[in-house]
Amino acid sequence: MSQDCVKFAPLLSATERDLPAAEREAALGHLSGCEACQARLADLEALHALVGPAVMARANAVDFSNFADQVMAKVGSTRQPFWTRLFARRGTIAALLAPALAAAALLLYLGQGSTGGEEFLADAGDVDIESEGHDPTVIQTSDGPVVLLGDDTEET
Amino acid sequence: VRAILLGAFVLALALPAVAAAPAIPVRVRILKADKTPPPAVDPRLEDLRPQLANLAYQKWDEVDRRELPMEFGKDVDVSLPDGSKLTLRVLSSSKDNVTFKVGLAAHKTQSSLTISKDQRIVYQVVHEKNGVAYFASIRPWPAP
Repeated sequence: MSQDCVKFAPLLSATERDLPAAEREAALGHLSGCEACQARLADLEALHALVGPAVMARANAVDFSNFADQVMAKVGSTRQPFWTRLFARRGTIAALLAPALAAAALLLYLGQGSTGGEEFLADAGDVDIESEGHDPTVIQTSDGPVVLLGDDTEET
Repeated sequence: VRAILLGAFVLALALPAVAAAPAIPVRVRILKADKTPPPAVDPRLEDLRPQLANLAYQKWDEVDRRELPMEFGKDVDVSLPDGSKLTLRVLSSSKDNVTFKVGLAAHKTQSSLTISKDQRIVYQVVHEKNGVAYFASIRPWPAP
């Protein structure tokens, strides 16, 4: 094997796009005048002709239609802890948080708003008096209302 | 389904806190008012003086005092000197105001009064007789 063969033999399996133009020209020039390298190239082409279709044939023979199912089956076979699976799902977290936030909002609303057994919202100073046979009087002061019963026809 | 059940569980934990509204401490005092001079105000009624000054009574005495933990919507009866009853109920409470229902069955009178939390209600509960009448003062969250 000459020095040129040592240099150009590794390039025999390269494609045209793998080599710069100058190097490709040099390789072709050596190949045209070197019978040994021509023989090596013929062997390589023969090998590719045999191996390529064989590999493609094997690949085509494999059924990938249920590939995804097989992968998921292997993933699913290693079950994670409940809480890990639970919080890995956004939908689950939203379902948990929604009522909790609703309850918190309700608490906040009731804490700031009205509480009690009856729906009755009024402002300070609101007075509503119902009386039979009397005429009550209300005196509003800064400290609160003063209510006088008024005349009582039964006692006067 | 599991998520919905857990959500309902969280809500169930929160709801009792909402339902269990705390009782409101209310101080109810029964006052005897007398038109007979000289003027005198029981020292225990000093905080009521601005309200009492609007009335034509000379003497004011505290004859009874109750510290009542009142629950929303529940009636509390207070006995009055003439044998009748004053019926109180907390109708509602907000951040700043409280609404009381005041009932005097003997006088067929029923009122709802809303006051701010630093105010008190002075309410005549027994008609004047021989210059003497009785009042009730109602104060939520009284100062100790």
